[in-house]
Amino acid sequence: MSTATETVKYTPPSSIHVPVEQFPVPRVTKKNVIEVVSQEQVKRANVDGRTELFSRKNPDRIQPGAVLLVETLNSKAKESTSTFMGVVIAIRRKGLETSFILRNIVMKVGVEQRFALYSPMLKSIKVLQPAGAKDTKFRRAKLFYLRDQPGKAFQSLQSLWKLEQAEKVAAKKN
Amino acid sequence: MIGLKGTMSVIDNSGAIIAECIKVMSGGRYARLGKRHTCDEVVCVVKRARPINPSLIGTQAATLKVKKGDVRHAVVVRTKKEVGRPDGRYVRFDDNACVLLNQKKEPLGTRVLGVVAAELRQKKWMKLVSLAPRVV
Repeated sequence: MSTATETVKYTPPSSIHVPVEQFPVPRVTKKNVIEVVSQEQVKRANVDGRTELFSRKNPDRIQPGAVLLVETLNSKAKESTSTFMGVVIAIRRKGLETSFILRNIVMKVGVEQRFALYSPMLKSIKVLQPAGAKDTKFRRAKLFYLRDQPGKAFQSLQSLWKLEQAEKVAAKKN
Repeated sequence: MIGLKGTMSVIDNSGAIIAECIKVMSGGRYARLGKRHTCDEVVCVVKRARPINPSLIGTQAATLKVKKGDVRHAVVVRTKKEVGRPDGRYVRFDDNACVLLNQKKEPLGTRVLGVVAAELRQKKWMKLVSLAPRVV
């Protein structure tokens, strides 16, 4: 058939919004299709460089013991956000389902929140204090022992919060 | 996940300190904070209460305070069992806590002392949420 090799150019009417191809076709070097698909999913969900924060090899990655400030959208429609600050006590790396737990002591009660890293409701992650700073070095990957023996792990959070609020106010002024 | 015999701390100023669940009103085995925004009510026994000031006995203020052994309704406001939020978050508290209620499902005390879970943000419990100093 002579028309098989010709590509027909079709220009849609201006009322139709044609999405632009964002991602190139993946180079399949692995044999496991599921691995390729999940890596592709992570690439697409990685809007603001979250993957780099939690990758295994990055020297500036978030390690257990770091203090993070996470902003989450309350709903997709509204701009309102809620923030949670805490110490990272666990990181679970499972591709698109990567999650981390932040622990904080709110009004004398310990509160833990597990955040799904690639959730579209997660607006931003800010590192307030990297792990290993100020003599708080943790030699474990999972810091669940902090539930019973917090030591000095949560003492600096109040001051970090105040610093962060001050920065926010200063940023708003400028 | 609070079931029969489960103890919770009471975080209002009704006078109770620890309450033990004797019935979960929703009919299930456990009372939870619940996905999709349901906070379970519970019938509980006051196991430990603050001593009522002897100068107050016989006054109206004393009638509002609960004593040890009182059976009251309560709503669960914090659980140690993690509760899932629609955006993929899971929230867990370090203890179980409740707020005592009267027959009209209104809070018995006038103040809430401590954090409560945001699952309480329903029409039913708006008064509680407004009393709470911190909602997570």
